[in-house]
Amino acid sequence: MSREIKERLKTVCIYILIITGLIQIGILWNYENQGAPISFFTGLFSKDSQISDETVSEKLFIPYRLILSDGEITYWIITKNSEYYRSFWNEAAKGLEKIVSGEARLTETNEKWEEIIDKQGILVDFGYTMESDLLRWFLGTGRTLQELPGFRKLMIKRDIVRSDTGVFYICGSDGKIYRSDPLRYEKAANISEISRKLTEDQSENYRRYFTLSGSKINKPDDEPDVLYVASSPRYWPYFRYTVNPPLRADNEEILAEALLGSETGRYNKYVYNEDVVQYTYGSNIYRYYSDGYMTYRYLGSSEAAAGTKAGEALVTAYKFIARVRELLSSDTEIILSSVKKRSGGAYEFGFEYRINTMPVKVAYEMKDGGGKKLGYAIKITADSKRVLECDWLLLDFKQNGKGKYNDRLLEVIGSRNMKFDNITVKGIDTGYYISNGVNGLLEPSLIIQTGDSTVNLDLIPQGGD
Amino acid sequence: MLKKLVVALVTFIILASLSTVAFAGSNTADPQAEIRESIAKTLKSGDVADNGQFIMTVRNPENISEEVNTYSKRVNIAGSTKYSDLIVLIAKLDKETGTYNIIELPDGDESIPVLSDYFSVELDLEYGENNLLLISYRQSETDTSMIQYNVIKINIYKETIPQKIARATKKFGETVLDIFTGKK
Repeated sequence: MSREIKERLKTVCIYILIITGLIQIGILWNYENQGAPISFFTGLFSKDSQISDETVSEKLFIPYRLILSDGEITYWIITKNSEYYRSFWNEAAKGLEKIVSGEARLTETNEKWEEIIDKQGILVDFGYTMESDLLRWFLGTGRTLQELPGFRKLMIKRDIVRSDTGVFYICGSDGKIYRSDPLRYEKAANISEISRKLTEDQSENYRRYFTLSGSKINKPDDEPDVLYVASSPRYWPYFRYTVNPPLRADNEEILAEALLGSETGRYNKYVYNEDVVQYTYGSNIYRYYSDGYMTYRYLGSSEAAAGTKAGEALVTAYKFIARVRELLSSDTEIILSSVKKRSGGAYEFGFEYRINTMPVKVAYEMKDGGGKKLGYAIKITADSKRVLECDWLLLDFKQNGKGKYNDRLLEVIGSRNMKFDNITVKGIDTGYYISNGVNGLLEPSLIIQTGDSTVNLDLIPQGGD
Repeated sequence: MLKKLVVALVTFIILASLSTVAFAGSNTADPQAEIRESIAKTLKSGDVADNGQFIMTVRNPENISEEVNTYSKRVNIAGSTKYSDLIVLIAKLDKETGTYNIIELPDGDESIPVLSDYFSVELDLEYGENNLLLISYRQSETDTSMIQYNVIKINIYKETIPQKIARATKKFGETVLDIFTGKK
C-alpha cells in the first residue's frame, strides 16, 4: 500500500514538473521568440553559404581606376563599360600573379613615379593600399619567398619594341618604387593603336585627362599622378540622378528578411519615433532609419584570432553585404575602397557605390551622436567569424536626365573664387557627392581629396557660367 | 516764321543731344585701348623678343628658351600667376605673312582669363615648326611695358616605326649610361 502512495506521489510530481516546464517555455517563448528551432537547417541552404571565396574575389578584386597613358600627355580612364577594360585588367592581374608567385622578380629602382607614369602604358589604381596577404588571397596563391610591399598603384610600362611585353612598376606604400622583370602577356592589347583610336574618338565616351605633373602644375604636397581635365570640349555629358532611401525597405517583411536573413523569427522588433526600426536578438542590434541609414552592432565579446587573414574577414563582410543589398536596386555597383587592420584580428572595410561607372562619395553624419562622418557608403568591421559592426547609407539611384557640364579643374576652382595654390591635391574624382544636405537630386561634381578632408565642387552646367 | 524757329530749336536740341552722347562715349573709353593697340602692333610686326616672366610663369613646356620637340599634335600649355586679373593670349607666327595671329582656342575662346591663379590649355597644333607667342597682361594694367611676351618654339614630328624603335633604343642607352655613371 505504501508503495502505491509513493508511486502516486511520484506521478503528481512528474505532472507538476511537466506543467511548470511548459509554463517556463511559454514565458521564454513570449519573452524572446527565437522562431522554430530549425535555423541550423535553413542555414545550410541560405544564400550566404553559396558565396565562395572565388565569388568574393571575382567581385571585389577590381581596380578603383584603370588608366591608359599614351606616353605623350594624354590619359584616358578605362571604365568597366569599355571594350578595352577586360584586356587591360587581365594583363594586370596575370602579371601580379607572376610577381606574387615569385615567377617574376621585383627589384627596387631609383626611377621617379612621375617620370614612370609619363610613359606609354596602363596605370592601375586600387584606391586603397593593397597589402600582400590580401593580394595573395585575391589571386589564390600561397606563400612565396618574394617580399611584396603594400601598394595602391602600379604602372605597366609597355615595351616599345615588343608590344606584348611590359614592365610592372609598383609604387610602394613604403615610398619606394619597385620594378619587375619584363613580363610577357600573349593577349596584350596594342596600346599605340588604342591610343590612336581614342584620340580620334568622337563618341564622348572617353574624356581626355592630363596629370598634374605632366602639366608641371603639381605643388610640393600634391600627388603627381592626379588626373584633371583641361581638354576640349569644355562641356561634357553627365547623368543626373535622384537619390532616395530604398523603396523596398518600406515593406517591413522585406526589410526584416534583408537585414536578419534566416534568423528573422528570432528577433524582437521595436519602432522609435516612427523613424527608427530596431531589431534585437541576443548581442545583435540592427537599426534602420527612415533616411536609409542602417547600423549593426554586435555587443558580445569578439574572439577573433590575431591570425585572421584579411581575405577571410572580407568574405564575412561580403556575405553580410550581399544579403542586405537585396534592398537596393540592382544597377548600383558596390566596390571595395578601403582596408584597415584593427586590433584583435578584425578588419575595417570601406565600400563605395558606383553608378554607371561613376564614383559616389559619401560624407554623412553617423548616427552614434559623436558627430563623426561616414566616409564610405558602407563601413563594416568583421573578422573571420562574424561581422562586428556596420554603418551603411542605403540608397537607390535613379537616372534623372543628362546634361553637359564644365569639368575643367582650374575653371571650376576659378568659378568659386578659389585659388589652386591653396588646395593640396591628393586625388580628384569626377563623380557624385552625398552629404546630409543632399536634397534628392545628384548632379556631378569634382571631389578633391586634400589629405585630411574633401573639397566638393559642383561642375558648372552649360549655360550656368 | 514760327515754323522756322521751331525747326531751328529742334535742330539745336538734336545736335546738343548728339554731342552729349559723344562726351559720354569719351568718358567710358576702353582703359586698355593702349594695351590692345600695343599688342596688335606687336602681332603685326611679327618681331618680338621674349621679355621674361614677371607676371606669369610658364610651367609647361618647362624650359621655353629651348626648342620643344614632340610627336603629339596635342600640346599642353600651362602657367601660373599671383594676380587674379590676368589674361593670356596665344598667337602663332604665320610664316608667309611674317605676322602673329591669335589662335582661336578649341572652344572658340580667344583669350584665357586666369581665375584660379593657374591655367592649363590644350592646343591642337600642326606637324612641323610652330612658333608660338604667349601674351600676358593684367586687366587692371594700362602701362604697355607691363605686357609679358614669351616665345615658344614647338617642333612636332611625325614618328615612323623605325623612329620609334630608335627613340626607345636611345632612351635605353641613356638609362644604361645613367646606371653606370651612378645617376640612377
